[in-house]
Amino acid sequence: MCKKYLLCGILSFCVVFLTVGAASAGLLEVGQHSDITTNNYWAHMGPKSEVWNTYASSGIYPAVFTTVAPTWQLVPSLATKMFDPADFSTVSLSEIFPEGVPEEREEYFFVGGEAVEELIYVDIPLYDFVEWSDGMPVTAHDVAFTHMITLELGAVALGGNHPNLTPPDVIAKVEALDDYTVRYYLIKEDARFMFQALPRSIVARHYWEPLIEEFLMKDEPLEALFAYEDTLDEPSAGGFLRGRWERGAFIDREVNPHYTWQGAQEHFYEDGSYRFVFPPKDIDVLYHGDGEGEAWLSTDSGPFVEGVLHSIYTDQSTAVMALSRGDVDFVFNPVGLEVGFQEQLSEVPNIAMISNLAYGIRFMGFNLRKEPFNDLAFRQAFATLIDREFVCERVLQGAAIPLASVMPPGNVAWFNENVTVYGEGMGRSERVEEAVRILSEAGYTWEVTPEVDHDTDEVVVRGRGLMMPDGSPVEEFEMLAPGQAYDPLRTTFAMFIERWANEVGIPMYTRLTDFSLIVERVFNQQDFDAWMLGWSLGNPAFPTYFNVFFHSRYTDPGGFNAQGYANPEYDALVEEFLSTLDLEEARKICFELQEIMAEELPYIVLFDTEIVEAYREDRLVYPFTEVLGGLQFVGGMLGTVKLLE
Amino acid sequence: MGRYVVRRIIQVVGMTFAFVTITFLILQAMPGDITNLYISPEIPPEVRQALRERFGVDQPVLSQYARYITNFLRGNLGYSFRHYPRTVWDIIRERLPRTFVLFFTATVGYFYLGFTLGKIIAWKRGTALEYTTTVGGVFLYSLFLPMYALLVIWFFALRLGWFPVSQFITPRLWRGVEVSSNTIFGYIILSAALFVALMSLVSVYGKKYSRTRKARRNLYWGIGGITLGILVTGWGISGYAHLAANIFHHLALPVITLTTGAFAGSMLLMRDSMLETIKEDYVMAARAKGLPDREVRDRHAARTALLPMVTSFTLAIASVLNGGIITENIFSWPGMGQTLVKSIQTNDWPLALGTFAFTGIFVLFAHLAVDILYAVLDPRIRY
Amino acid sequence: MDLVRVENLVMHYETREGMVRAVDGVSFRLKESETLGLLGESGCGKSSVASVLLKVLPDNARIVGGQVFFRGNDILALEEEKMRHVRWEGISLVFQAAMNVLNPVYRVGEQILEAMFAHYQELEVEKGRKKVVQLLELVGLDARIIDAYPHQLSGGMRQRVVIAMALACSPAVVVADEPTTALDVIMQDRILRELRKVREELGMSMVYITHDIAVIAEVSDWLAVMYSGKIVEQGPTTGVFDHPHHPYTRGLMLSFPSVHGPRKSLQVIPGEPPSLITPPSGCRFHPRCTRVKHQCRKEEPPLVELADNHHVACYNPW
Repeated sequence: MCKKYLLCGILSFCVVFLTVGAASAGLLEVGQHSDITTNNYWAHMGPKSEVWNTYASSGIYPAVFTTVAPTWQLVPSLATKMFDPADFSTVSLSEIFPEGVPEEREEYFFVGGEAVEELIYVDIPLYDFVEWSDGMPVTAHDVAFTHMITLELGAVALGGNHPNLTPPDVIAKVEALDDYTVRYYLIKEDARFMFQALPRSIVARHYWEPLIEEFLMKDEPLEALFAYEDTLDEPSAGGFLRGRWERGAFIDREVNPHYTWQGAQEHFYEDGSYRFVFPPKDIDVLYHGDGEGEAWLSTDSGPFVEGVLHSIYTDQSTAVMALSRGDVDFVFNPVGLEVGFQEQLSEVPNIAMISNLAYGIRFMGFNLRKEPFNDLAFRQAFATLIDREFVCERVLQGAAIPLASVMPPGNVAWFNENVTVYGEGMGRSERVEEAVRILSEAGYTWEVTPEVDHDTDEVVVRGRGLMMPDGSPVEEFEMLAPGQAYDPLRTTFAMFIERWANEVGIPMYTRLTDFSLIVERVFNQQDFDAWMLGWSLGNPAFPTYFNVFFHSRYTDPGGFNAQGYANPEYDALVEEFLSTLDLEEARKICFELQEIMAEELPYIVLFDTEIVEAYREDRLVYPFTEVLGGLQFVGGMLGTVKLLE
Repeated sequence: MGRYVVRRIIQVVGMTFAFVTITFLILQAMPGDITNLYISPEIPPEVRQALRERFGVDQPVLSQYARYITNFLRGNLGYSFRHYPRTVWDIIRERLPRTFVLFFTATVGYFYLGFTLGKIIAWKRGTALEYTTTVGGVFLYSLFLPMYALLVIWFFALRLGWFPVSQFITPRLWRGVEVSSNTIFGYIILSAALFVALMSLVSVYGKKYSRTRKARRNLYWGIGGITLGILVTGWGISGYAHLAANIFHHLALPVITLTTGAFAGSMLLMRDSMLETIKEDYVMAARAKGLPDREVRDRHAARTALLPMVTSFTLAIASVLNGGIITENIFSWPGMGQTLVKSIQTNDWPLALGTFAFTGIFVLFAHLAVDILYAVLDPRIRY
Repeated sequence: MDLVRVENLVMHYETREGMVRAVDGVSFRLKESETLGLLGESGCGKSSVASVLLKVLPDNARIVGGQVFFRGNDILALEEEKMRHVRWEGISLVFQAAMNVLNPVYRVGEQILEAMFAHYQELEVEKGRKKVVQLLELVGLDARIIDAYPHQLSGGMRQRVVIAMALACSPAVVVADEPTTALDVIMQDRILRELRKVREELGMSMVYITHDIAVIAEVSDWLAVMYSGKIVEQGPTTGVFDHPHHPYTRGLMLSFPSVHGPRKSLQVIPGEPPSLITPPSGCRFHPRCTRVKHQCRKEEPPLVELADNHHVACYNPW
């Protein structure tokens, strides 16, 4: 008997004290809440485009242009100069495709219903000294290959982000004129070329071409491509290499010893200009302005670490403990830390906490195909009733930030701050009065008209029996909203909106339900009255969502214009927005679009949230921590973060 | 007996089909599909539609079912949607060893602890030991598991720093290692299985080759010690010993949590069962025969009290493969439980169904095993 | 020297209804190669005496007074480990109701063997099995029974296994508690003959507990009659049978039919055995006694020697 226990004791002792590896000083250790699902570029840009995959794939691929954080400006990266729409020339279609357009892409060569006969093209010169990690040069051939193979394999078939990055209805062909000049042939002028095709991540042709050729010989080439996970030796032109993936546990990424841009500097000036300096090659260029005055931000490009180790912590509580203990230096979390964890971490020494606005919106909307939701006055009156500040500040204690515009203020480049906000600054009684006024003027009547008392700021007589201008009663309608477990902030808003609506005699009730169910009913079946959801808005460099959310061509089941907003004036404006290659012009149009949104209210935007993150300040120094979406939105800034000794 | 087993196997097969079909229908009835995971303004609707077509989720339910069942019969569980093009079987194979090692160890742990304590406190009623283990055990049993797990982690990992906070391996240690963690898990399972198999053989055949009882006891310890020595040396030579030790280090906290949290159930079951068997005449007879107290307790009272425990234990072992979603989540052991829940949440129905079917079949066979085991353990039962 | 000497043994059971005075001042002696018969109705406390002799008492039993000497040592004062050696090697027990005393999950031979191993650690398994076979044959069973499970045997076979088991460690004293009560007459006869054979071969002493007068007449040298936790009459068997002095003993004798002699109607002892929790005052038997006197109700009669080694506890014996 005793022998058994003695044995166990000895074993435990050994196990406990002999097995922990020592921390490596130069290693950056980060956590994330879910394992990646792929280590393959085509898959994580494609059908497996989950945020966790992007965390472990940052800092690998070069691009012709790039959008820099924190200003989201488009600047050249591999390109040697800024892009100018005036540089476009035309050429006839038959010259580029003497045997005709490839069959599978024929449908894309139409503009405004007519077949195109001419293509426009522009040449972009590239730097001639950038190299992959295996020593091979990064050339125009890599750029051409990346785009062309996407088109060949089928952008839509590849799925995910690919059709956005190489839009088949915009890109006709990309070819390398010589090793360092890329020529893009476009079907039409489209902002997507500028904001998505140009900054597209470029892969190494000498690595992928032979592999893809092999896959093309199989029955299911795409399946074979997506299944390929042996990517440890994929060449990288960024600060890091592809990581070794120990499934369920970690991804171990080494630094790229061959990183060309080691030692580059970026400077941001008050006048909005951006300066890029690379001393080893005597490069000092200025974009978007004249570089006057002091730089309010300067960053050095590293990487300054020896590697990054991504560990998987599936539970937030344990991730927080690991952070406290120093097992990790930072944790990637797309929704940020909850209040409880914030409090817990604020008591741990050496933990810095930062707070940034998320790039997203939470909103409610009506099914604009039904009455009375298709009546603008109804929507405007409804919006007047909603006191966002009250819910955000008084009820939710600042957990939500009131937002009335479809564009979050954090995206400084595109945000229009001068849009109408219904009921702005009004108290309860004022709001009700105003709403009643709007509705009455539009011809609505009540059996019992709501009355307010300004002194007590309350509704003293609840409205009942609201009737439309034609005399028919407004029927009780349902708003679908997410439940407590999914998002308590939206649930709270839903409850208050229900109360305020009913106070005025607008007969609505909230139905708290599962996210999947809302998606099913709203997007796929389009069987709903009102709904409340939210969006993560994607790429801040160019807000394409003005198109997909509100253009009338997306009103079919499955499309994102589920509310059925169809405004020809808006459609035309959005189309103009999409086809502009002029940044200033695009910005002006975007401002106009936001004004229309604020007036027409296809969405009544409610709030945005902050994303709170924490990191070990005794280990890390970031060049800046104020950025839309937080550190996790910009890949954790792995290439520019410095380690303290 | 043979006929009985055959009959039951046929039942199991039938139940498997019913079970798979019903689960399939339930999963299909859930709103939404895999594309809900990729709702983003960056991803155009054509792409989502193309994805639906690739996975066949826009096909009528009946044709999806027909395709699934024909594949199922050939042992093909299909592709996971979220992890496409990985097959369901491949994913299960990756997650299984972790789940198995953790929950098998924990289950054996809490049953053994419960069995031993239940045996002891039933034998000696009214002692301080009985009081503390019963109150303490029930208290821990009724603690909300996530809270208890976090407390354990907070105390032993954060406060004392003896154990890692979570995960099943320490990434720092495994960074440069060539071999994958699943391989090591496999070797651990193999070593344990070898050891158990060998000791079982010894216990069965040892009787023939030892002349006195004492000799037999020495035989056990001897062979046990030698085998252990060989295994340890083998691990040492392979150079993987520190990796296996690391896994054990990570195993400690979840096993401690589960064992201490769950032992009260089996302890009280054992105790109640013992209290019944203690009253039996053969227990009194054993004492009268002059058997030492421990032998009376273990060979007579506990042995027959074991029968209900065996059922409970076998069924618990079967659900080892289900994993525990809470434990796996908090301790970051991505295993079968997490796989199941994640796959349901993301409408990845082939993975959900495959995981269910896999563990379901196990449970069905476990029930069969229990019936057979009962007949073996209690000679009075014969089918 | 006396092998076993019980002096004024008082044992009570604690129950919710009160203290059950199961053994209330019992004394007897046993020498080598003698058989003492303990006769009495159900519930008179005789089985309790057996459990005291082996010291396998239930939790609620209290030994209130008295001593039990085995080979001169008071086993009541003996510590558990030493007592363990007295059990089975010194005194063993043939149980009543053999079905339940054999553990159903172990083979019969195994159960006999474990008794032997418990006392002889150095025993070789093969030798042990040989001894078990010997014992089984001694009680008239086939050697193959050794590997049988209890439920595979008939009642009679089981009883014989129990007897064999009791002999496993060659004890000096065997306490047989109603060994044939559950069996039919033919089986009973066989077992009694086996027992006699065994006694003759091994020369051990026996305490034979039963309510069956006929059996006890055959088996015992000495006879003690128990009533309500007390011994009311004891002496050599022939003596007690020839002349029962105590009204109870007499009543018992008369209530058993005799094969010989004329058919007489059976006489019944009126009344019920008394409660052991609240026994009658004075002589326990007085409420049912036909010869009751005033003194009987007041004081308990002591055991008085009336003839050669023949004692009676009665104020008005026959």
